[in-house]
Amino acid sequence: MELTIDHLSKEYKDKRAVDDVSLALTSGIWGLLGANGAGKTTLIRMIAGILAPSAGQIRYDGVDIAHLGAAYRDLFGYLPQEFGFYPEFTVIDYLNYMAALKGLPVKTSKRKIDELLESLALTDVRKKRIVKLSGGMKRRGGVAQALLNEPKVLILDEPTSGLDPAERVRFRNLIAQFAQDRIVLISTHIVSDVEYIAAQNALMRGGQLVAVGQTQQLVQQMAGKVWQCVISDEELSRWKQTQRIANLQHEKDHQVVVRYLAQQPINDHSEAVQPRLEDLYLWLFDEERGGDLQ
Amino acid sequence: MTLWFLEVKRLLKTRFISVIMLGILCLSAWMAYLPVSYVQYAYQDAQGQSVIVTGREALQKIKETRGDQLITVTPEFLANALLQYQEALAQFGNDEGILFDMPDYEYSRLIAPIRNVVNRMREVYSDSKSGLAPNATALSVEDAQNFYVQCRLHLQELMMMEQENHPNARQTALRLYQQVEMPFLIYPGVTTNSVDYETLVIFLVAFGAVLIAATTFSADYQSGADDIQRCCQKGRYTLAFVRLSAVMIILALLFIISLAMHLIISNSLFGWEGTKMSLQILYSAVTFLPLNLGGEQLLTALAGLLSLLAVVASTLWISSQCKSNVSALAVALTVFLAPMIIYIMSNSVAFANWAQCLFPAGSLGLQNAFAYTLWGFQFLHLGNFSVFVPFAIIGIAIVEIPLFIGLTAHSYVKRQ
Repeated sequence: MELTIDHLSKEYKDKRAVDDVSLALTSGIWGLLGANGAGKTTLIRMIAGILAPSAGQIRYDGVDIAHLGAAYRDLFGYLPQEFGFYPEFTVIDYLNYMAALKGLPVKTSKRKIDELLESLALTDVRKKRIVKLSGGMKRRGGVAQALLNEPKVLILDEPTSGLDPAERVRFRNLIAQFAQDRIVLISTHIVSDVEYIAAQNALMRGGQLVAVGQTQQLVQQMAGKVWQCVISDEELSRWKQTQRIANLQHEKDHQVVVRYLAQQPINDHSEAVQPRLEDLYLWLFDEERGGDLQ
Repeated sequence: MTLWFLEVKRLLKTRFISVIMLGILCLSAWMAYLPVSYVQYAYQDAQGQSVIVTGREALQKIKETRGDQLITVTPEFLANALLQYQEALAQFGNDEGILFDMPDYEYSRLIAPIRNVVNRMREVYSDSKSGLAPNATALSVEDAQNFYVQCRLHLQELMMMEQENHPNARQTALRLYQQVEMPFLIYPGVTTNSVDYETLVIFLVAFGAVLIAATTFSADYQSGADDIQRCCQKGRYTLAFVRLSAVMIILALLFIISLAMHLIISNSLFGWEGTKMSLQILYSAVTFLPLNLGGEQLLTALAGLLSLLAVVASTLWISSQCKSNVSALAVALTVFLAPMIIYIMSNSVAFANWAQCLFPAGSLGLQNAFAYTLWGFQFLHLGNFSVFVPFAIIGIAIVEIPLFIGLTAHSYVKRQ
């Protein structure tokens, strides 16, 4: 099972939103990381078949998804960033409607809906109108519809926006459980959403892929570039202007523990620390914002 | 079918749609009563005072005094009516044939029952060049005896004026007029108001249908629901046709129920025998379609249904092209109301006729209503080919329905 993105581009009048992206998605969880405007949503909409590429091709097991048509959509699940629903629908109405739209037989859909309501803790609110639900519950409803047809390819665009920390953890666990023998692509700018569950990641910037690989490999690229030291409050304001700071922790006596990214340590008392995916993200995307600060 | 039923259920559960539908049903029923409320009857009470009654009471009095049955307009009936009218004129009118100073109860007793037939006589004996109708005093009993012969002659003259360069149109009119049942039939109490209100109900349903249909696709584009739907197995042509058919069937049923309710109430109040009244007595003696009032009601309803479906299909196409509900509603309402404005403002009869036929809503307006074309003499001309406007309206609507359905489905599926 492979979803191949082959030299994919999308051009608008004045902008190239996705620029010659190639990527082979295999089973497992993939993180698609990038700042807002990096081209993630455009790429995802092309993978979903909502948007036609200006150039390039997307193939599922070697066949162009445009030719697969309904057969591709049959094995596809999608939760977009802005998830629209009908205000008059209850949770169960909505899932029944989506099950019919996905072509599930009535009996199968009933069983599947019950299972999903249970696993997503929505059983109690099944007859409640979606519009009355909390942001997290609405999002879970969206996840439920995406999983209804047990998709082989599941695309989630910013799936945790609006969720509280506990719901994020629950969501991560659910996806991790679901991902076996499936391609799951999670697009996000929140690194922690994918850091622990994505086996592989693709990082996008300016419509292009700037890094692709297994999480550990990507993180290792940052080895020797992540440092930590203690500085004073006064120094901090200068550092903020000149250094790429990944984290700050205020201590007693106006001291601050600073985690920063640099090719070389800034001072003698800096020590190298274990890099994280977030460091790579910051390394790549801070360049875009502030130029090379090394 | 599961998806179709769920779509219908979804639409019916939408508050905006259910409120509009309920409003239309209530207004349709109310508008069936309005023409009755305008009926007036005056009589003299025991003290010799003039009493005017309206509404159902007036209808009741009319039926009591004039009889509750169809009256055949024989030449003898016409002659008697003419004499009665002339006597009334002699007593209460002037030399120009205008009645004045006539007590209301005398008008209800002497003039109202025969006003239509006398006017039809004046119409067919109007001057062939100027079109001016003679005074009732200028007509004779002999004219009354020759009324039906004169009807045919008058139609020939009129068609020569209206369609001088189109012999096909003239022949069609005369051929159809041969099938008109003569002598004509009249029924006490029936007025043209009931036809006007049928037209108004059709306009109202169509207006509501545009409001409902305009947001069918655009609402999902706006909310983002469309993104998920079109990624589903049945999210393309199947969903497009499910949505199209669900909206069109719901609105067609709304139209049928509204019109049926309106006509049943209206005809029950006026009396079902009234549906057999000749159209030629109500509007023009030379209306060449062989229809009675009931036939006119059914044909208007059928044409209204076809036009409504064409309007709904074209509105769905607009909806499938618009990103937001506001733009979809604005464009759909403009397209819906434009033919009415064009019709009113147009100086060219031919242009107005084409606009009336080509726009899906061309015959759903108030002045440009389909019913009014039935007793008109307008034809569409394309070279030597001429077609009577109401027939063209029906034919073009039948073509437009599948055309706009196809365009909508294509536009929805290809949207990015």
